Amino acid sequence: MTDRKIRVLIAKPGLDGHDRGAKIIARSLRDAGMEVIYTGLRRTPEQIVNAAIQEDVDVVAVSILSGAHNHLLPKISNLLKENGADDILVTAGGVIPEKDFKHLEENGVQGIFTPGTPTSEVVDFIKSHVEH
Amino acid sequence: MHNNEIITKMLDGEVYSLAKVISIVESNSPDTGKIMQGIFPHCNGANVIGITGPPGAGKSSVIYHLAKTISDQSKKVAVLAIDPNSHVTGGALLGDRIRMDDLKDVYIRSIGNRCSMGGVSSSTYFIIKILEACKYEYIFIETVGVGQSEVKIKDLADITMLILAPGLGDDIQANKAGIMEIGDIIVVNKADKPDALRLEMELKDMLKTSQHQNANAQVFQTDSINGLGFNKLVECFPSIISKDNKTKEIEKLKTQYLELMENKIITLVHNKFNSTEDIDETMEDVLNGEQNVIDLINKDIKDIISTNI
Repeated sequence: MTDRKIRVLIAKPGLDGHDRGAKIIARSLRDAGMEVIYTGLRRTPEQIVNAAIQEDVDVVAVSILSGAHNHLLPKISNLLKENGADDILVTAGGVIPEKDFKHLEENGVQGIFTPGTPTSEVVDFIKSHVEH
Repeated sequence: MHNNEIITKMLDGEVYSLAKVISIVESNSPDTGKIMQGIFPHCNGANVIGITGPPGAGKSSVIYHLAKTISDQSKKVAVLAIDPNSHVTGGALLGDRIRMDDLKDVYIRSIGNRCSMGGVSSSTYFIIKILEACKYEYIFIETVGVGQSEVKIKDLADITMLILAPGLGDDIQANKAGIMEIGDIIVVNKADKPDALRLEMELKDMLKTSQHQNANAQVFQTDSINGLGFNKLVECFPSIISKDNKTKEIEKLKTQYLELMENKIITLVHNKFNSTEDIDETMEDVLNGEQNVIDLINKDIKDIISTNI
């Protein structure tokens, strides 16, 4: 009997010291039965991708409030691709203006969640996009 | 991707494939037996170091320093960090990695214990063998930091290390049975704190009069904040690891084999029980004296054996 759980890496890239939102999402996903790995603050895209690969996660959920999303998120998607791990879903949460959505979506980010999003929406999005 | 292909890539050193094989085995897949059959012949010994101790003693930080010290000697190091899954939702927050993430050449894997008892997950043994087949020379296992009964790690590890810190309990705690009886090495972490020396003295005192198998345990002080005491700690590893690999491996497998059989039977029994219709009525019949409880149990066990094996 296979007991495969959805595994999610919660990542905070760059110079951004606020992880209250990331921790709330981590708890919500845990309570939805997922295994959640949190890597801590101020990681480089390289560290995040390295962790995602070692941990064989299904999702990299990036929390970002610094405004550097247009630079850091595509970098994470590209590094995953370079390492043959583009089967990993990349989502983003935080302060991201709507005008940037298109650019991010064209660069491998598949779900963008801004402040006020009910956590259940994030859970449903992940469950519907990850197949085992 | 086919399993054989992933295993070949894994043995060639591809980390993502290694991570995927671990996921398959960890999730109790029916392919596990076949995969392990292919992997066992590639295992030629690794030093397995189990780290246990109460929450907050500094297990992850101690592993960080040990892994770094050994990895700096150009040895291949892996870390398995085990945290608990919720009994209610099955979810888990795996947070040990946060203290180790800047270890560049070390393979770190966070594992949920999938609610198994004893501080390690039931697939831990297989995962150790998989890492061994990938030529990892040192494998650190961080157990769930729960408390006094997390002792299964000693069946898996060549060295068991108990991490304590001053301020977590008095000398009566230290004299309680359970976790205190298993360390080959006892580490007093947070040596920068004033009571560290006192804790070391108390532990040495306790060991002097101990009748347990760990009466010869060595006691060390470390300070994770300033990175002190770790070279000395690593230097004592060779004196503890037994050289007789073959006997050791057979003994480890025997313990795991027995445990896997027990787990399998428990699962079958639970499945049978949960799928029994009219269980409440049957229990009522037993309470009313209309049915023989032992006969019922024997019949259920016969059913389990005839339908599953």
